[in-house]
Amino acid sequence: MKYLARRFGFYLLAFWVAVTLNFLLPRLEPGNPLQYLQIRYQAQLQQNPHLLDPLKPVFDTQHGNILIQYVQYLVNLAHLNFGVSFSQYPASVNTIIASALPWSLFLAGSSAILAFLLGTTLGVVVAWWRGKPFDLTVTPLTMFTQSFPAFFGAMLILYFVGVEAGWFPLNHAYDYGVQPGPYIFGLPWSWNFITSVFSHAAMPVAALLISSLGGWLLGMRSVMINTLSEDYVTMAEAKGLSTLRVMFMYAARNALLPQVTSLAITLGYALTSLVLIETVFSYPGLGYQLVNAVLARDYPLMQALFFIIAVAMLIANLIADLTYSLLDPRVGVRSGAR
Amino acid sequence: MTAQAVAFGGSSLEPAAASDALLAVTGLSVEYLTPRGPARAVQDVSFSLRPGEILGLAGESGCGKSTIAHATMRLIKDPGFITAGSIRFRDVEVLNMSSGALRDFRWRRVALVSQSAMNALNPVLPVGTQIVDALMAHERIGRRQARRRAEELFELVGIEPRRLRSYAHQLSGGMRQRSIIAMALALNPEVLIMDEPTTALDVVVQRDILQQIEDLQARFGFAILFITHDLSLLVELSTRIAVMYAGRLVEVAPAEELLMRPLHPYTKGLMNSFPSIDGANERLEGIPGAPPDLVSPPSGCAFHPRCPSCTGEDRSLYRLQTSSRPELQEVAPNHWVACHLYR
Amino acid sequence: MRTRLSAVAMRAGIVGLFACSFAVVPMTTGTVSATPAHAGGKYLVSFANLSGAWTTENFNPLIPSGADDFTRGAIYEPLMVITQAGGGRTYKWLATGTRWTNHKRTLIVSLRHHVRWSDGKPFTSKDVAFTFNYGKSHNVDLSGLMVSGQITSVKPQGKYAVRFNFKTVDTVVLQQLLSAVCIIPEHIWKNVKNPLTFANSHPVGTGPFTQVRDFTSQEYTLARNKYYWQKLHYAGIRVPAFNSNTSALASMVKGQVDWAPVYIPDAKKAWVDVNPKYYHYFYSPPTTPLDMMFNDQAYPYSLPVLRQAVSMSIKRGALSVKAENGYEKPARALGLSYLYPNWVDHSLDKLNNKLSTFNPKAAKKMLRKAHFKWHHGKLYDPKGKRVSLHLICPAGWSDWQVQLQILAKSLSHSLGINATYDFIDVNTWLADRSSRTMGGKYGALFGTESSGQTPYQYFWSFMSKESYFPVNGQIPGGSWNIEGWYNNQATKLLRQFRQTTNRKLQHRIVNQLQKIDLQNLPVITTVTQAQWYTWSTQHFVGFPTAKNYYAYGPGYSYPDVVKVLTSLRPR
Ligand SMILES: Nc1ncnc2c1ncn2[C@@H]1O[C@H](COP(=O)(O)OP(=O)(O)OP(=O)(O)O)[C@@H](O)[C@H]1O
Ligand code: SF4
Ligand SMILES: [Mg+2]
Repeated sequence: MKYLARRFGFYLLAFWVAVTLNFLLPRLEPGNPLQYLQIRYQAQLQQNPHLLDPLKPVFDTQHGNILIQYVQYLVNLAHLNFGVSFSQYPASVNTIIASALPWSLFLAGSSAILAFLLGTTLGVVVAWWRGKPFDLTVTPLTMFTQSFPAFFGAMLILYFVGVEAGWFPLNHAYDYGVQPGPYIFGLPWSWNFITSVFSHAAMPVAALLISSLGGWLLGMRSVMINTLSEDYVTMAEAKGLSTLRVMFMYAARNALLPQVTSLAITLGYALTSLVLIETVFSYPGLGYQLVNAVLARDYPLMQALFFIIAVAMLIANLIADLTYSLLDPRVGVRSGAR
Repeated sequence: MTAQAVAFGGSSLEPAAASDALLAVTGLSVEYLTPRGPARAVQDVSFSLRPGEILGLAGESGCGKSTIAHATMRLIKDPGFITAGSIRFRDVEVLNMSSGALRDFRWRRVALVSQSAMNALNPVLPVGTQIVDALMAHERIGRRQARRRAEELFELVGIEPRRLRSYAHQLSGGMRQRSIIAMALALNPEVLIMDEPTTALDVVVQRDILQQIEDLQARFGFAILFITHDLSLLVELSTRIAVMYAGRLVEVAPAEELLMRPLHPYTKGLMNSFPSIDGANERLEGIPGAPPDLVSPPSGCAFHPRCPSCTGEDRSLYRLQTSSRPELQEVAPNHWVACHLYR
Repeated sequence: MRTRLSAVAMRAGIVGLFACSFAVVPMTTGTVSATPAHAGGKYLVSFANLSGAWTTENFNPLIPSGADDFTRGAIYEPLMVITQAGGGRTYKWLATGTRWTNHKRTLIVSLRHHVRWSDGKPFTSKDVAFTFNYGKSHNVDLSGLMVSGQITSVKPQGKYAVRFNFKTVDTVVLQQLLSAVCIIPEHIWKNVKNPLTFANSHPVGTGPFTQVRDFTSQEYTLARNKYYWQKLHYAGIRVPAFNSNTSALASMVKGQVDWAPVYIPDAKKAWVDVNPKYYHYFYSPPTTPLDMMFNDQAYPYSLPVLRQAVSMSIKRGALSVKAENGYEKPARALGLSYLYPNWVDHSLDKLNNKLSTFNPKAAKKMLRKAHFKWHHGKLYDPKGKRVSLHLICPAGWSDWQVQLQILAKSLSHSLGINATYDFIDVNTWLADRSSRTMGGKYGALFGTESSGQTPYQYFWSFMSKESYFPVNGQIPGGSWNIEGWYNNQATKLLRQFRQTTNRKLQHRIVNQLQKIDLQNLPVITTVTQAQWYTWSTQHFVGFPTAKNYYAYGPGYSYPDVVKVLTSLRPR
């Protein structure tokens, strides 16, 4: 209990820091959305110098006492009121988030889970048969694919799998014109829609997988190798348990503990690579919106997106903490003794 | 993992070979590959275990005791390899068993009480589950039934059955050791290999557990290979004692015989380093010097650098001690020793 | 002009890499049909901006945000389409003619008959008058003429004519008045209290494609206006969202996009060669040249002779080839040269040539005459101070970065100026630009001038006192006169220009302005900027090409876009 309270305190503090940074950063940065629009509409402005005039009063929001602004910001945050987007004015930030968030969750979630399952399982297997041909091919290969940036892999996939081979749609989250179909439990269930969504997600998910698989595999492999030399693994073998049971119930289960902590870190990583991958595939998620928001100096949208990322990271860490103490019975006691 | 088909070359030496042996180990050699070269952890070791017998195996740390225990159950893992020898259980060659037969052999025939109870229990599984696992891997019983068996086993070793739900870290050292013994007894094995079962425990608990082992042995009649670096324990417990040095057996004799008449200078040294029976003093007299390097052991008798009888006064003996390895020989009935002093 | 910001992330390396990979492997022609045959004909697939992000149906023509790509042009139309493309053209649109009366204080615009709004209601003079008056009362005046008070009143005159009354004589505003404003229907907008928060999800316009269909955050369709006043040859426009060159280019080479304002570094190899039969690009000149701008109020850059010497010490050809792949041609010192070829005063050719040509020897001679000095090859101004120059541009704008490097090198080599450069954060750069601080006293940055139907706008935007604002001041109007130069005579000439409709007189004025420009060189031209766009004739034909340059090519060019949309034909 004390352990949990302590962790909770930590997360609250981290939350406050994130929120405050989020308030300060746009105010410290030079430039404003209007200047961005001047560049974006430079050609149009040459012909029509007054194009942007109507928006001037709208974007001039950061004035007045900074403390009052801060309080106002906190109040708005408490109401999850992120205001109105500059770049997609007058759409509210919440509408934008609502349309983008599910896609990112879907992309990040499915790729993180796939990477975790696949990477960890492979890690277990290569550790068990370490030094054998399978280990000697798979391990260096994933080390290689992990070493280049996610978006690079994304471009290669886009080019070879999408453009050249033409196996999957090149962009967006589903085919234009496909109707989501009947909504049950708030989710669309039309078969066409679901297959469309999966074929569109294939390349982005593969890109995320490629870049994150190696981490899981290597992490699991090294912990697993340590674990395999533990007495309890030898004991499990001595007990005459099947190889699979020894591998997964006795060895992998322990080796998994550190992996769970890194799950949080990987989730954070997945969020950052999402930005680039959604851009490469024009996938309508948070990353796509973030690129546009940052380029457009769309502070309200940026703040909301960073807020979501910060909250997601904190939640991921919290979940990691909680699962860790669930999976490892020693954690609770140790901290109790502290 | 080390399913190695080893050509078991005949060692002529079978100090305790008997036709009624339950477990017969012959000419066993195990090497660990190290960056410096192979470490010969076990060399040409032969012994046998009769039903109901308690064979003690003693020797300093690192001499290869655990390696023998693991090899017996074919548990040696990379970078270790069984390079020669034969392990026969009821005349079936363990080293040739298929993986299915091996799984069946393990725990049902021979169970292991591994060196440190803390490490031998999986920290993230309740101890009960670990016992149930062993039962269910071998017997066609349901989880519920296995659970009940586990409760009985716990009662047998004197732990409250509700502690089955505990994790290793929630148990005391003695309880841990007892639960491992309970686990080892789960399938009523014929042989129990106990690798230093009491080393980490305080003297009182140690005595309790030894007493319990004796009681259980009397009741169920399994044979025990009892491994320890503490010769004094064996003297009380075992029928026969094998003393090991640098991967080889150097002396094998019935317990009283060895106690009364230790022959090998190393055995004598071990005798002198008995802790006093009340545990007040750790060591009366150790053996000076360090255990040898198993990658490049001393020539001749591996013990010669530390041997008090290797003075060099007798030139021809000295030459022999430093260049020729002494073989195990039966110098008295059932008393085998490997030392040039007893030619 | 490419939309620089949206392309920043992807520009140099990424696009290069991608372009090369496309170039190496020959493509099998796309099997995906870009324009599925719908009932009623084909759909044009196009997008007008590489930062496609829309969530709600927002088709408000008065604010430049939301799903604005084709709002102006496809849904809302101007009175006339006036463009500088192809040497300057005017197309009558909702208006069919103009006439000055009342000593050029009143403009009468006559309107097209039988035009209807997309809801079937007739389009009349009341709608036009309403648009201008609403712009004034609600501060959404796209012409700027109502808010500035230049136009004092707009009134319908009968059903098909509108009277614009002017405060002063101003004849150069025709383009702003006729071409920049989207005419909106009175019967809808009179109920709109706050146009800035009005999403206009179901737009009613006079344009060719007004019906919003299948709107999603990644794509939407604008289907044909069944009341359109011209014959339409296809069913509508499908607008997919992209926000990177990479993503857009992938779809383009697969034949999934018909028309796109995308810059491809190696356009021939990476785009045309993929499917030479159909794929085209036209990086069309001329728009205003790209200029190096100093703070012309700060000594020694306030000295015309120094600016002229700088102009003669840079290799414009190298800038064009090395930094812009040759797509943007070297400019002439007289920026007007390519922009308004019909207005060029050829008696100034000699001077123009001299100032456009790399000749550091002559440049040095001029400087020496003006009491500049060199010590050990380093240039000192007449007051004895070392002449320095600090060039800045946003990091990541790789072509500008290359230009900067070349400029700094040749200025220090050939003139001995202590020239340095820095690639800075784009926002700092924008701030330096709009406050005219240029990164410091001896800083310089890149910028452009305005352009309009006549050279008036162009000269006004960097030579008139009316466009001048002091350092750290507020930018009026657009973002002009960054260099901070003006001249009383030029200001007077420009005023004269807009008070007459006499072309001959206007030509004489422009001749004088050219002379002032060359004698002072307020800004130093480097290359002529181009507008990037690509198209595929697999499904549609009739795009503006180098041969048939009837309008600006990129889809974001309003009002040219409406001319292009109505000129396209399905193949
Ligand atoms: N995995 C391994 N790799 C290399 N060498 C090993 C390995 N395992 C054991 N050894 C070596 O083999 C020798 C015998 O080890 P073993 O564990 O059998 O000794 P032991 O007699 O059980 O010692 P202790 O009383 O400390 O348990 C030791 O010298 C040890 O260093
Ligand atoms: S052989 Fe010699 S050296 Fe070896 S133990 Fe016997 S006496 Fe000692
Ligand atoms: Mg041991």
